[in-house]
Amino acid sequence: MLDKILGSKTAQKIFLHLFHYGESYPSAVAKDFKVSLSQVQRQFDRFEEAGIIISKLQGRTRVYKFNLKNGAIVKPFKELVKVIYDSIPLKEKEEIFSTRRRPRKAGKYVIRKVNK
Amino acid sequence: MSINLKTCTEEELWKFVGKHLADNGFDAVLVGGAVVSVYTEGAYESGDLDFIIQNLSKEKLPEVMKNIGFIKNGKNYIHPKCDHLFIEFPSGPLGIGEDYNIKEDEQEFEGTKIKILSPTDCIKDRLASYIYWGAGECFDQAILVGKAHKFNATAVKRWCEGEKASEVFKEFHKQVQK
Repeated sequence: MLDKILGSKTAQKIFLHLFHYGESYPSAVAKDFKVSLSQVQRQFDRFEEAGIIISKLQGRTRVYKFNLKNGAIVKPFKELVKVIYDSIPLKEKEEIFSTRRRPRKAGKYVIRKVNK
Repeated sequence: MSINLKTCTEEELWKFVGKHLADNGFDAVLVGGAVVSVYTEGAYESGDLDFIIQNLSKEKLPEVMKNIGFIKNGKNYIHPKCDHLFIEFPSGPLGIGEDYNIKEDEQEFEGTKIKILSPTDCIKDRLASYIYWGAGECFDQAILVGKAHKFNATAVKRWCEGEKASEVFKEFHKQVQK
């Protein structure tokens, strides 16, 4: 539904990614959804210009998140994204968002699930 | 109006561009850091001017800006003689956090009404940047405006409560009263 409203499947993917991770960047969206980086970058630029998302440089990566300073518009929009996000089956969510991106203490072991 | 674009302040450029936009039918409101520059009489220099255009149709904006020498460069408008300030038109509508019932202040300049955020809304805008973007310098700008101008403390308190940031108001109010 969101892809129809926004006129772009890539746009929907970006907002689902932002919603899941809290913040995101173009190469991560391109990798997780297997879409072209330039296509993703174009959409990020578009939504930043519209004031829905904001960005800042972290090292050499431009990281984006919802622009809650523009809450009157963005909070209801985020709610709409949440409805779509919540409707995705858990198994599919685990497959799409399998990369762990939340903070992790340096040196902490990573235990990986092995599918037998 | 004559203006020296090489040396003009944010306030002078706001009046020059704001009048030109209004005379050409644009409902333009000055927002962001440049409002702090205006209200602190240059104690803070923003380096850019952000105008929210409230008209639905903005197609003529590049042409109108070009008439006063400002050329679109990416998302900014720049003037070859004005290398210390540039102009941006962020997307509207006018809103601060969840509050979109913003009543802008009007000032008459050479027979034209030009618009700017009120000191109260300027403080809310700066606090919003602090709350949502973690921009500490914007908290300091809110204090600068609060010390320099009368503002509606009750409205700022109520807005902070609405944004679930009551602690921010308490700290802001304490600093302004110092």
